[in-house]
Amino acid sequence: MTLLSDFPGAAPPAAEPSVAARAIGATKTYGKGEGAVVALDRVDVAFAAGEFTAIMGPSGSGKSTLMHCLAGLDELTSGQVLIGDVDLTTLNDKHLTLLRRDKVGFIFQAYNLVPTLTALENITLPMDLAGRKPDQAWLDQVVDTIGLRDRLKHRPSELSGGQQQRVAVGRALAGRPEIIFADEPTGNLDSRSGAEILDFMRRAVRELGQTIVMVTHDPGAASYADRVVFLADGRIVDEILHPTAAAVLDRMKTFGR
Amino acid sequence: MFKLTWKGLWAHKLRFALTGLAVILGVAFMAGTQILTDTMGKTFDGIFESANQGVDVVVRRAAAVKSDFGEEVRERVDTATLAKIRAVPGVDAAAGSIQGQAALVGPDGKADAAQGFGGVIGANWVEDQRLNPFTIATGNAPRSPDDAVIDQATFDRDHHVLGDTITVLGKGAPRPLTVVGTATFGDVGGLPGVTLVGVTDATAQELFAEPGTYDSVVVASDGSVSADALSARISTTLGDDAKFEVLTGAADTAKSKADLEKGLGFFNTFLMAFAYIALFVGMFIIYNTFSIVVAQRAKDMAMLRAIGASRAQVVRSVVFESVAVGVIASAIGLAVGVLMSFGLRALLSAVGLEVPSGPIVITPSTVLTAFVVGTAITVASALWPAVRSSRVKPIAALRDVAIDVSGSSLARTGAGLAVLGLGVASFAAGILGAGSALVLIGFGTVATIIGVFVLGPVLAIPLMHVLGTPIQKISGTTGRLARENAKRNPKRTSATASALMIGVALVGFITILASSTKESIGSTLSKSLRADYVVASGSFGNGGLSPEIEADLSALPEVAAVSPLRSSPVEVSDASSQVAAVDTQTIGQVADLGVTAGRLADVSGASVAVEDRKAEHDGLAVGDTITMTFARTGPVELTVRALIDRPPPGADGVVYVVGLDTYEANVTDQFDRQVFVKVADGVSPTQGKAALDTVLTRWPNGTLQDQAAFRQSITGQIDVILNLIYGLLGLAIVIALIGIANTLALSVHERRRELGLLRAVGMTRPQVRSAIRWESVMIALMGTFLGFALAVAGSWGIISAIKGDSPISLVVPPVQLTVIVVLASVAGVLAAVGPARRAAKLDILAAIASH
Repeated sequence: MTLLSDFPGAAPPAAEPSVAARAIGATKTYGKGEGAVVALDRVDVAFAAGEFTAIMGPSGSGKSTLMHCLAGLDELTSGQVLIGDVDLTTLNDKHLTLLRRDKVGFIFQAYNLVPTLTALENITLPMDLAGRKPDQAWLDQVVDTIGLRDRLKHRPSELSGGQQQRVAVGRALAGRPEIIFADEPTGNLDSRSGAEILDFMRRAVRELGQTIVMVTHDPGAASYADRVVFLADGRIVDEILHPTAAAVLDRMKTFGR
Repeated sequence: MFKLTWKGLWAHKLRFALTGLAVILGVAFMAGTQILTDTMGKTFDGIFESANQGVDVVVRRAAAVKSDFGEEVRERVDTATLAKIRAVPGVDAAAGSIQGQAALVGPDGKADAAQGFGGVIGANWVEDQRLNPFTIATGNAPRSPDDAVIDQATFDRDHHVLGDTITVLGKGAPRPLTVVGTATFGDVGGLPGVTLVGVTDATAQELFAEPGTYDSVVVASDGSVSADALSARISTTLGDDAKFEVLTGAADTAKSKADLEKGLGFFNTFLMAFAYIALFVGMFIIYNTFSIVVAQRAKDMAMLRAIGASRAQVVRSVVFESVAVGVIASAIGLAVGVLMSFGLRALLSAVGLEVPSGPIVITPSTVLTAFVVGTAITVASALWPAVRSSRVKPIAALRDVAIDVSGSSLARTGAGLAVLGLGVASFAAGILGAGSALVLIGFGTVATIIGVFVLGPVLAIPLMHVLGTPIQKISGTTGRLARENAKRNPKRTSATASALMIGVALVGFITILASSTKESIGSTLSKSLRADYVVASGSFGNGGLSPEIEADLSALPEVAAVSPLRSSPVEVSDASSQVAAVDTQTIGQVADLGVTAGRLADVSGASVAVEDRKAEHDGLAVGDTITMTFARTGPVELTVRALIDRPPPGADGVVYVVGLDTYEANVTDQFDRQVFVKVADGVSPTQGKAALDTVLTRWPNGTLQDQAAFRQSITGQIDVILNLIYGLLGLAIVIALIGIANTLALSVHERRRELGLLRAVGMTRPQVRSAIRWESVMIALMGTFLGFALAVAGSWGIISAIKGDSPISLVVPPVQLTVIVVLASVAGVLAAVGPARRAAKLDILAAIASH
């Protein structure tokens, strides 16, 4: 496996981080009137470019909803979400789709790959959908990074869970999106494969300047991030910079669960 | 388990509704056919009964000859016989009855030939009400030779008033008649689809029979003897049993009903064949839907097994589902069948076969058949998926079930090839004439289709690969995804395609056969036809042009040669055949029959020309004798004076040709089917046509055709049949398309997570729709290509088999086949509309969040 730092073209960490994505007064309610459930309650949060942020919180805290709204998969009831300078709340479905395709990368917990396509085809899928040629040099770097060069022609069913997730990371990186959203990316993996994936993600941020926002409930996973944002009852309640697993776990305990 | 079954059905309403639709349409077709034929039968039975209500005995001449279609050809009864019958003790009244083919000249000066069951009947008006099913409604019965009565329905339809003049065509020149009255049949305005023209005996004989003759004699008894006794008495009086057919009114009605039942039986079988095709196609859809549904529920099934359900219980739960679907769909199908009977009638009427209508008849047998066949087919198709579902191991509940199983095992290939081989062998044996051709060909066809169906999954992957490659070129990633999706479950893809394959195979088969036939008729015509113009009567059997037209045409200075074509049923060596008559002196100028031995000009008097292939088959040479039986004169010895390569133009299938003198001596009614005209040298087409048109104004049932129009009118008949069969096969195609839609809908449901992922990483809605559409098109094309392969192979087999008897060669029409491919693709796009929309509207979050 090649180290990311070996690449001469790797971008240095940004000196003055700009904001890759932000939510302003983001509110999401389900239902109406008495029975309305507030999933997000006037959330203001910003994610700096070149930073690895983890969003944590108990089940029902709204962390997945926040991520989905940030990624243009779901719509806010009120408030704004921006990716770069683009206000997602002004976009229709078509433009949201194009934004996801061109500016956002995704890593899900499972079902990350299209089973009928090979590993390489899965990696280049967003670009293929856009009808764009991938940057071959960059693609080579990504492929070597995830260490699956000898498996590129394999279908997902012929890959282990960890390998599948590495392909998913490769896909998220290949298009050089402005931001990558990861939803419990290690949830379905054994601890060794999970650690491997988290390591890739951290290095993608440190060494390639990628921006990653990850939703997780695993303090161990969160400890790979530069910053952990805590959500409870649809609100940001705290954050920790340069977290350790122990610190995160301690903080979680104070939520009373 | 019952409760589970119902819950299962209710939870998947849409997919079962779509499955049910395949059954509904098939059952509806079947029930519709039965309802239509039952209704027609009942209508006609009622007519026959009314017609013979007061008739105790019917006397006709015995049938001397049966036509190719089993129609009895009789001579007429003369007035002397009528007088003899009148004198028989016990006869109260006897009347001669004439019912001949007639034509009415329309306001445009043209008379259309009668078609289908209807037409214009020219009859004599029988005064005795017991012997005449018609009664005068307004005005009075015809009294003078120029009087006519027409049925009330036609009178109203054409807005006539009493005193109007109508022009009637029978024998000889068009005859103007004055409408003096209207008649009703029983308590209705007229017979369905039939126009009645009633005239005096003398006029009827002149126009529709011959002077001094009647078609039959109808007798009313004075009540002193039974009908049976009276019939026996008349028979004895007439003597010569072989010459007359004496029946009681009841027996005559029964005979008419039996004849009709036989005719309707053919008709019913013809339509039923298409209903069974539709149901057969439906079976693929049901099989496929149940397979997919069961596979998708494999986890539920495993769970049931894990908590203690036996294998038999799992099988039963699926079978219950199929029974429920079958029964409900059959019930709806029966109801739709009533509408279908109207649809079939409209279709038949659209191709020129008017079918009379009466009150709808739904017999218990129709209801029973609908339920039994509909349910049995559903259950039979679901049985294998049910058994397979029970094979799921209980442990599968605990892990992700791999739904896809490879479809290209060696065992499958072997079994598929074996069934295919059996089918092909049986088909070949059938066309080579070993054993019962129909059974062997039928079995061979079904076995071949099943063989291809079994081989389908093996063929699907390479076929989809080939089909998908250009599609991928056109539409990139969406095409690639479509191709991979079509390949991912080869069994499903091929079962879906097989349903369409059957319809396309049949459409392709008849298209190729029709094109080949048209081509061979066309090439024969281009060899044989030398006439510049043909005056066509539009009639093939009864009636036609009056031979007087020949003299009118010959008299024109612009005309160089004229020959009529007449034809009549005869029997040769106890087999039904057809004899054609031409002017053997002039025929060479208007047609080239390709004389291979002897001279046509010598065919006159007791001689005949025979088609050379027929002569070879029967071992005949010039100078040999054959015996030909005519309805009028009985067996006649004819010497073969010429051998010909092809029949006169427009008389395809006719192998015997005689001179006009022979024909006139042996056949009662002289009608020209066509008259061939060669114009003189130096006469321009415009001059020629203008001259001929002046003659034709006198003969309203003649149509002037140049060579191209004549050819078109001959081959056009094939197109009519072709269109009818296209219409009837349409349903099988529609069912197959429902199958594609159904499969895609189920696949979309199954792949919703994957679709959610694709949408999340940037697949636009149009791209999603496009991928589903392409997949549908690929399935449709696979079905089309497999269908074509079967069609070409089948028609090649049939044509090779009959080549010995007629000069026909295989013509695969590129234009029509291209049209079919394009239509199949369009149909694929249409079938994908619903599933594609559903896939594109998929809620991304719901799809990807369902971890």
